Amino acid sequence: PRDKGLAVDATGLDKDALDDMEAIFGTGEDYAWALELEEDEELHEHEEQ
Amino acid sequence: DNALKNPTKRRRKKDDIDLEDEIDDQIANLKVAMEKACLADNEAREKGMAATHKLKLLPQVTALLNRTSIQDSVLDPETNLLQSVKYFLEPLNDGSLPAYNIQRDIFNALAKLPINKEVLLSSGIGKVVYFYTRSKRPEPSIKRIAERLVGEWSRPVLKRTDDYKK
Repeated sequence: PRDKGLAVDATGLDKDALDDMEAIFGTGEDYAWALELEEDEELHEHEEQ
Repeated sequence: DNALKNPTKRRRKKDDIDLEDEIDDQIANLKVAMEKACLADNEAREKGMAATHKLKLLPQVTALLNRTSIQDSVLDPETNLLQSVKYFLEPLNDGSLPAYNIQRDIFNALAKLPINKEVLLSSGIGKVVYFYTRSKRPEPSIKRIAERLVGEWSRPVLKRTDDYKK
């Protein structure tokens, strides 16, 4: 399973910086569907081998 | 919202107005063509055909992105060309990435642009670049650029936190 969340270690960030990071890079949910498709495909390939 | 506020209204020299308007029109037209190409590529994929529409437009897109003399227009949050660039980089409906040439040329162009927080917020380009750092599909060379860009773009945001602490 892939880690969700921010592009950087958020420890010690204040709320404004966290909000900015999320506004710029998203929450990790934006393309989660594509990452899930990717994982499904990988799983499928493993099963076939 | 950002488009309405127009926070970075460019200071225009009188003589440059015509030229800038012309470039803005050129960008606006290209944006429409880019968005159509994204839709057409998704439709092609769904029909099991090759997705070639974005590839055909790519030379025009990179030509604009790489023209240093028009960087102000390219990076203007109001014209928001980078929003269409984001659509170009997005995964297709089947989860596949756009052609390698698209990834390579656009990431190389992005790496050369002085992208600030304002244009990041208006375009959403950071979200798709961040996706490239997480996906296993891109070539290592592309992932490296994506990781570097995420680092560069987050630095001003994180630096502000440091400043507060001091």
